[in-house]
Amino acid sequence: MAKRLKRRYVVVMAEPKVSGESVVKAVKSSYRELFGSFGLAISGFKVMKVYRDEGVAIIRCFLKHLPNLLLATASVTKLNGEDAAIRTLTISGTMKKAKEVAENYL
Amino acid sequence: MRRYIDLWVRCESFERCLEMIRCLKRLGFSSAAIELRGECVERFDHLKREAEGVGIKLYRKLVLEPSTRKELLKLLRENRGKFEVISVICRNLETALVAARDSRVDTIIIPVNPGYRFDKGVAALLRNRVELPFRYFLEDRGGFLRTASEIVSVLGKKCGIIVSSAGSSSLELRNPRQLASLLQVLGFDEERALDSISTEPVKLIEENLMKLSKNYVMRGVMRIG
Repeated sequence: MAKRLKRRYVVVMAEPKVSGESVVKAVKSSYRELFGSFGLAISGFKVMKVYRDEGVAIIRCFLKHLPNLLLATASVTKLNGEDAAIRTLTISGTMKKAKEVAENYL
Repeated sequence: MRRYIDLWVRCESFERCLEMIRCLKRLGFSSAAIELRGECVERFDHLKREAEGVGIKLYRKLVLEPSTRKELLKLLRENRGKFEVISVICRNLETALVAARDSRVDTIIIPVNPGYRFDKGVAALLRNRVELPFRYFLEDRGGFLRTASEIVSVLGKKCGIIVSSAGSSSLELRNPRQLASLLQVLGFDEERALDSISTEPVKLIEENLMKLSKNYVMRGVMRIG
């Protein structure tokens, strides 16, 4: 029987605050730089929700590729040309919980 | 529950250091080894008290970067009793071979593109742990991943690998899961990757605190009572 693909929802935030879109763009380009377009394609990378002004976003990926996503978030050092870091607030198995954490942080 | 330690944080100014300590707490660390520079050297006790207030235990770390074997041995002789953690950045094979087997060295750091081969010959001599600073990865991703994957493939499960941030500002610090993801990408399973920032450094610091205590006589001999 085919095995169900497990997914994880990662809540990320930028420090200092920038727009949510910049965060997502930076994570995606960092992932592509580290693991290539093919790596990005098979990782199940999908942006689920972006909190525009708060610099918070929820990104989904397959559990198997979670370390890759975490490394991609960790390797971001600049956002909009300025020194920055991307932190993970939580890693969740459900979108409901991920949203809860993101909204509590806001 | 795991206790996470960042085994290399570089501090130059007191205020910045306090900010980094608060950031470490926020990221989920319970201890840190600090390489002190400038004014922080004299104000370490003050810094330590402040950190304990925040909930972080601080340890002193010395990072040596000798160019010859003789220089390394001299520095170790002078400093071993003063620091909880001593790391050596091995710029050449001569220092790497000595640092790998000297019991006064806690961790060895292989720089990116070291200019010598970290092969089975060096790995066979290795008694100390190998440290992978995350800052090196941020500076040169490709070069670091190449060097780190060579180290991991040569060492296998022979000795401990520790991942530290080596950050000098709060924006260079990363949380434990992000640090561990580096080893996971290099082929470690999740538990072993997390051990590299919790169990391994905790063991190292406990061994060294025992060695620095008054009751320590020599290897394997402790004064009781």
